[in-house]
Amino acid sequence: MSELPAGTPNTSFSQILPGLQLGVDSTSLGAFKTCPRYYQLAIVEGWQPRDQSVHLTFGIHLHKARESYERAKAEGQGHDDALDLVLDEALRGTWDRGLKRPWISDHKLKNRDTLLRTIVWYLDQFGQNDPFETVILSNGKPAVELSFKFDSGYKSEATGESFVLCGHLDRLAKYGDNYYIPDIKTTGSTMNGFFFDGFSPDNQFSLYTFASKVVFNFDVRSLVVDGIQIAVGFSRCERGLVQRPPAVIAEWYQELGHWLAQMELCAEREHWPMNDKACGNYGGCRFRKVCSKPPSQRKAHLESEFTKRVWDPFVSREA
Amino acid sequence: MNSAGAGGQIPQSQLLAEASEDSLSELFSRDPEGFSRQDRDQIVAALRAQRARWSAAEAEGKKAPRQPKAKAGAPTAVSTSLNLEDLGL
Repeated sequence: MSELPAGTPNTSFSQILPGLQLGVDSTSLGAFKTCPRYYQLAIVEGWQPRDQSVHLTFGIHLHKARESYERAKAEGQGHDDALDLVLDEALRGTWDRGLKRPWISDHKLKNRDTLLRTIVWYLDQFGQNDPFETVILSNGKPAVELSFKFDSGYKSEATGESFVLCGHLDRLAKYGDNYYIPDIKTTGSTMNGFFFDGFSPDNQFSLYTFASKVVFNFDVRSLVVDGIQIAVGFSRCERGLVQRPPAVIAEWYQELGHWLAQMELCAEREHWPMNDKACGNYGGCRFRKVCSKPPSQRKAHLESEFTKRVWDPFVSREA
Repeated sequence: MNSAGAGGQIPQSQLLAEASEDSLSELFSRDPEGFSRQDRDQIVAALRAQRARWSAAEAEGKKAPRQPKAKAGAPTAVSTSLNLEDLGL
């Protein structure tokens, strides 16, 4: 995975201009687009809230469940057998053998019980009889957890190094003659039209669509979003289609050059300005309290309330 | 956004009737290393039973007629201590 312990060298950054990220994934690019200061703190410096790992752990297990399910189905297993395999994996994966106890999360919505429930409910609803069939690649393997890394075509004017786009597609699927990228998104809120509309435009999905064409040569024009509302007593699963016409992707790619140039400018100046109109997005930025303090007090606040990790998109999830 | 088909018939099994919240808690507290297929089937059955109950409650909630909201009356002016004339307005 891309998240590494603090102190690990981050191979996605330039050796010539240390603040310049050359290996760019949707998380990094999205962070920069949201707010350069947020990007500086979360990606360049690697600060994250102490409780952040709950969301990451939950997401990893959920995506892994779908991946394992698809692999089992591709090997010819039926729904119940594939589900059993996935459940076994999730049960073991959330059991701390050293401490002889289950994974303990103090998050009321994202914990072991809700994870196991979500896996079973989700795969019962959208696993079996899924009209969006996983593509089988020419090597006979299902197209799941596809890591990609390719030259963006843009170069840094400051260092001459190439910007590389990278990331992971959960799955490539086919329905009729068309190809789709399915993805799972969880939310704690009620899903309505706004939930699915929220992915157009969307940096991550545009990058995925672009990568599916450039790297895998699939003409994807839509994504399938499996939204899961996780509540204390239920996991509601709903599915929506998100369109990405070629002209939209072309525009996204052209504007990527602008954003990479901005990233370069910030790295050269060693200054990532604050976008103070983004502080309230999505329930409030995690760094809002940091940025609210005078600059002289921010480091102390970060060190007391946050931990450090390294976000390196060049490191594949399998590593 | 277009809506795509949602399958999701809730699978039924004989274990469904036996499944309970208690059995689920008990199973979740055990080391999964020693689990048999039957143990995991019991977990699946309990979770499917949960889903069946939730789906039934959802369907019931949708069928129940909504209580009409009290009709809002004509808006009344809120009081203000400001005098517009004092403000030169």
